[in-house]
Amino acid sequence: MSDLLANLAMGFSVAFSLKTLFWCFVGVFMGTFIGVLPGIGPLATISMLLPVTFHLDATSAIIMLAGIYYGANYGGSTASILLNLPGTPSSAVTCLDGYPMAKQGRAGVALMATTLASFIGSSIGILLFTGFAPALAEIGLKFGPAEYFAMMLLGLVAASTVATGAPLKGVAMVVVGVALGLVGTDVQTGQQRFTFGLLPLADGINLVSLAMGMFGIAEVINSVGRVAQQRSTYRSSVLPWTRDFWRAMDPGREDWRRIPGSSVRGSAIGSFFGALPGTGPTISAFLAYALEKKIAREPKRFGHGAIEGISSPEAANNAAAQTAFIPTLTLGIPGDVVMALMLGALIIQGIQPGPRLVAEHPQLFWGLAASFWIGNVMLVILNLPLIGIWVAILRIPYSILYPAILVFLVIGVYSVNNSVFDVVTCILFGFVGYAMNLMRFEPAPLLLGFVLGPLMEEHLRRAMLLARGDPMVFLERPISATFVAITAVLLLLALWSSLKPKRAEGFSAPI
Amino acid sequence: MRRIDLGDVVGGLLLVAFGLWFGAYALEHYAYGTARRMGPGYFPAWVGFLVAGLGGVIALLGFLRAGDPIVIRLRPLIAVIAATGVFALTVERFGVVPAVVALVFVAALGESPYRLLRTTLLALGLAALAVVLFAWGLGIPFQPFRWNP
Repeated sequence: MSDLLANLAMGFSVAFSLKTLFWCFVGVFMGTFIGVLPGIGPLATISMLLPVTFHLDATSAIIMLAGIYYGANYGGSTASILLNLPGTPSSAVTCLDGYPMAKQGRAGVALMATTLASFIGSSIGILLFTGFAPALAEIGLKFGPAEYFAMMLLGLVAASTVATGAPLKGVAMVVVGVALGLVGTDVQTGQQRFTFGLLPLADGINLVSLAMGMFGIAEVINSVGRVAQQRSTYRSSVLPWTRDFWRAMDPGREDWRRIPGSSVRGSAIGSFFGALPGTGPTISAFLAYALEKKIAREPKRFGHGAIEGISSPEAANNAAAQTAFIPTLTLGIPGDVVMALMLGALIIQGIQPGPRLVAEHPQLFWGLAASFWIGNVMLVILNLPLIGIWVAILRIPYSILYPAILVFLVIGVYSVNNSVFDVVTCILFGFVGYAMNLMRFEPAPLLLGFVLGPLMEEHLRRAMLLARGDPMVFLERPISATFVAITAVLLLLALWSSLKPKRAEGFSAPI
Repeated sequence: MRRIDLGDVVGGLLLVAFGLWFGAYALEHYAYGTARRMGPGYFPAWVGFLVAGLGGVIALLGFLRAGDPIVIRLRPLIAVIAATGVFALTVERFGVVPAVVALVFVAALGESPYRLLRTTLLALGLAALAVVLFAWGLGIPFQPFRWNP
């Protein structure tokens, strides 16, 4: 316990340095900004800012990227409530009761409830993160290459089958990603693979080019001419230091009582599913909503502005956003594609996420944990007293926004190595990403496979070398056998569900 | 004609082609090795053929059911690819500022009507912002202007 406190104290001393505070603020501000804007999500933003992080130290870099990720959840609910348009997929479910509340003139109340719930969810998620991550790292230290390979396999299969609309296509995209990840110099033999004599490919395909092409360029092509300008009825001309401003946000006694319980239930769901591979904030939010509706005394209120219908999912997606860092940092297994980008950012910084991270880079780990608290406090301030800013931002038309996105995107890619080759690769992947979009293949699993592919090959080779070429090793070791068994079950389920008629809808919204 | 899921069929077949090529290329050019000591070709070969197999199943299932129609919107596609392409062509020759301006003017073709004044202001504003933010703010060494056609 005293250890934990000492570590946290050290973390706060890192996080309270002026530089770190600044980047944390940049992260949560950007996160809220793009969370509010429909048509651009955390994934595109993180890929866009990835090149910027190469000019920062690893701790500031990860703190900023993390801020974007959890900040987007706060901002996402604002667009859901005011426009009935989810700013991020994870706040799609918040539309169901948030928008009716806005129509009843209770938008202020809804914003207050989601911000409070988000803060409760994040707090619980952070507590679990600081409590469990070091413990999980201890366990991770005992894993051998066989366990790692099996675990990555499970992570990839889970992420591609559970979270996507078409599981089989998800698995196929993961494997394509693994293939693309193999381009470059083979670490063990020095053999150049699939480089075709192109020098820039010797280090592999640039992660930034791939991510920005598939999520940035492809997304812009998809949205141009489609994202119509929305008008919000919410007027926040009232200034935050007046009494009327806060009165508009007061939920009233009955709803005040409903917020804490539902938020805690949502946080529990979010914390659990956030830490599992393959399920993240979006699924957590949907499950939390379903639970609230099930246990409510009058389920009929849902869909007509029930406050639990927004507080619980918002608590869930924020809790999930925090606990998602547990497996990413301690095992090196990203649960979703945003985490895969974080992993990539760390690897580029020369830090290998995994069980040794907590011990070898305590400044980074505990600094990040402390920055979560600071960032969430900043977010409460940004999202309540300063809500007027975001309402104004909702008025920016997409015709101004998308050239700006493209500019930052290409400059970002170009600035990594001052290389036109990277820009061209990015455009190419933008085209591929758009084509995939047309045929309804999702790019997220591909990126996940791309990041994990080379690591998987390495672990597979080592495991097979130790086992003298006997593949039974993956079934003989109990932990790895468990992972393989779960993977097999998921694959069978995926096959079964793709033989059935198509699922109604995936969770499609800007990523 | 019976309806098929065109996206799945085309996508699946593309995956088959890519996977077979990837696997075959790996087998032909890189040492395969043994299960115990895998060469650089071992893993890529399996990965390639796995992609091909999955693509085959996807295409097959796509033949058996109807899918949603595919709508290609050429205008935004061409505008965005051309805009970023123009940036790639000009940035080394004339510098970042002209490249950004060119990008914005081409990108604006994606939507109609074309608003010349707004686009001009946006182009200049973004070029200035790029220099301030990236070159001064983050200290990334790039040249706002150069002459190297």
